[in-house]
Amino acid sequence: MKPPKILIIDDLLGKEGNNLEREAFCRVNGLMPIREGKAAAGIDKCVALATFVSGQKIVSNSVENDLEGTIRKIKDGWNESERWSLLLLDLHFKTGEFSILGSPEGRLTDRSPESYFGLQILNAISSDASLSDLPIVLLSSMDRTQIEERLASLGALGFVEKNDLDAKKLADLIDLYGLLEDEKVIGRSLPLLKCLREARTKSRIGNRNILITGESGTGKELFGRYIFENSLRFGRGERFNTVFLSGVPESLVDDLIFGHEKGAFFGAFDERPGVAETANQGTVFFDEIGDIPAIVQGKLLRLLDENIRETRRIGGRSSIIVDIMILLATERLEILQDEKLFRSSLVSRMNFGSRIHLPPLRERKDDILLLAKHFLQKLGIKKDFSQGAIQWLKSYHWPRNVRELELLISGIILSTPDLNVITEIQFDLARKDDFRSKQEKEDVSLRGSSQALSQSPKSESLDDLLEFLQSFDFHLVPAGRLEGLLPYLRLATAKMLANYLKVSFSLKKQLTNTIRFMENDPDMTTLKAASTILDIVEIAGKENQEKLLEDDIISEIVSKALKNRKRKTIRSKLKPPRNGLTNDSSSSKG
Amino acid sequence: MITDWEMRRSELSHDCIQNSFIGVIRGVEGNLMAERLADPFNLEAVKEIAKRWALWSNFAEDLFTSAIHELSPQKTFSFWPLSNCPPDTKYWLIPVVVEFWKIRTKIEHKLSEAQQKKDSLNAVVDEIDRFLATTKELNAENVGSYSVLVENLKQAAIEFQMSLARLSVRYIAL
Repeated sequence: MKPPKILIIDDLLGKEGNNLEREAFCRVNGLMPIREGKAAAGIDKCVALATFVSGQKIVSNSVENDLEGTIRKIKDGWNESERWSLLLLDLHFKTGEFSILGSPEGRLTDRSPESYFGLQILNAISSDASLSDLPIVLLSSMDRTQIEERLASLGALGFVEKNDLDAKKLADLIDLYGLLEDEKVIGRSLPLLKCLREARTKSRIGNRNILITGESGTGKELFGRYIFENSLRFGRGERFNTVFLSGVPESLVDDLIFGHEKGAFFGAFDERPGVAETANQGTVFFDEIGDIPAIVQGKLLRLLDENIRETRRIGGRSSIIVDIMILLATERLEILQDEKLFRSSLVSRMNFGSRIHLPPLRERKDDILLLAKHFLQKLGIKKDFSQGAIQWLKSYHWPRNVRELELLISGIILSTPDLNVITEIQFDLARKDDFRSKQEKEDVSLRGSSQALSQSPKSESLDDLLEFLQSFDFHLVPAGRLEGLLPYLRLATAKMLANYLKVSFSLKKQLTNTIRFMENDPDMTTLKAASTILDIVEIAGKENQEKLLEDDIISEIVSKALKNRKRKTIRSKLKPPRNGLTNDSSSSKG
Repeated sequence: MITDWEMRRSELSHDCIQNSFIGVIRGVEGNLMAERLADPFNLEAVKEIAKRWALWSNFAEDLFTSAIHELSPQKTFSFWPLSNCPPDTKYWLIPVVVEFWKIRTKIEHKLSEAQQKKDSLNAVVDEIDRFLATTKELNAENVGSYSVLVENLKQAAIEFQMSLARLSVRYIAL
């Protein structure tokens, strides 16, 4: 794996990265110095690649501190494509003219803790929002007792004596505080690297339960494995076990986790240990803990006890003590917090304090292209992305996260195998196909059950859709594609509303009730409902109305609406029929 | 108030001996322990600090020679209120005060110890110089004796630095 890059800011003036003291420091601490952007030879197994920066400059034979230049150099290596994993910062910088011994003579102010130049650098970093996530460890043997609290409040994560450091200690320091990439978790965005650091830290705190939250498709199981692989248990050769709770019938969950004794229930012909037992001396990852049935929650309480973990088979007389690390994942934190659904004692054992929240893909913009390339590579395909496609990848809001990206890429590869360059058009088409097939699946399930709507776990994707529609940025669309777009937009909007109308109609069966349900308006009248339906059709525009009415159910609804309106209009002698919509056009479809 | 002498002592102790001398030796030691014998740093770095030592050694000599004059209370007679002391009183009082100060601080013993440690370091540096003059590269045959020399060099440097620390104003005042 590529070694991390660290930055060391000291007061050793000289050719950057190439003076005796720095060379020695590298050898003691297993660092590979970077000179003129390239790694120098010398260290075989290195802990990190080190860039040395002197925080000073020479002004007419005198060494002076250079705050502006120092911050500039820090920023040079802190951007989208590369990041310092850690900054080791000296505190005391000697200034003044060169003495007979070759180093700056030093001024009294250099030695005063209140005016340490390292403190000034730390101050400047902490007040620069773009550097707020830079991990800093102070590397100094100078007295800091007076200012220790201040240093910590300015964001210093730790302190280390230069002469106490060695390769092992530095590696531990980087592991604990550093932002490190991992070859198994693709990405180098700040939210991801911070999350990985949190996972490493929490994986080493004793035997605590760790709760992993994050939207669907963010990679909770992958993170579970990352936590496990960074724990001491992995080093001991223990195993990682996954329990998928989503979709498992309530009656089977108990058996799956705890197992049963022979004869415990009808059909229990043999004894069978549950995962809690088979995973002893290992790690168990419970995927979608929010789906754990209420009847199992009480039993799970004992297993989640971090002091003594107990499990008891169905029909068993005694408990078995097991030694396992428990990771719990959910995309619906609100369910765990709902006292009607979840026992509060169980929730308190889940350790919200040890929660790791995975960032959604839309917050990991720097990773999207890397992931897209990774998925191509995984498929063994060599293709490039056009600039438009890269822009598309970054501007799309990824409601289904990394899983959606992988699906889109594989969809594009299947539909356009001969294209060498993937453009934004392929992404547009693939997303529409993906959305349509998802919508069709939801339509089928909704038709099948009137309870489906309230049980649907996809309500958050509906929120995403609304947000997406409202905030869609047309500035990002090439000017050529904007021309003549209105009819298509009208049709898309009308179709979407018509789909909503269809689903609601399948639930309520009657027009006025349907619109009352859709608008949540208890005062809905037959005439108002008919007008609303016709309004939806009108949104499509005259040229698109026929396309919309090709759908039999919509056509039937519109026809009924027209009849209702006519009947009511005649009765109340109100408005004439609307333009473009006549009883004839609808009846021809009906 | 940090005196000029104290600044120079600190520079020699911290910058030269601790950061440069001992720091470089630790780097070489790290290499030898990891059996990175081919790294030119192993010989070149030690050659360089041995060269620098000639300058630092002279600097240390000057520091020791001027120590009593710079650190003892005799300087306080140049400033108010002791500057008002009559010359005939100063004539006998200053040597008495300085003698008492020498006894209380054991400065002469500390200086002699520092001198001795410096001489020991000199001796090891000479030995290293002789080794380096006849050695072009490190190999399985000479690495054992070189490791011993490097270890001796580090030990002598640490002891010299400790003797310098005992000459610090803060330490003397105790």
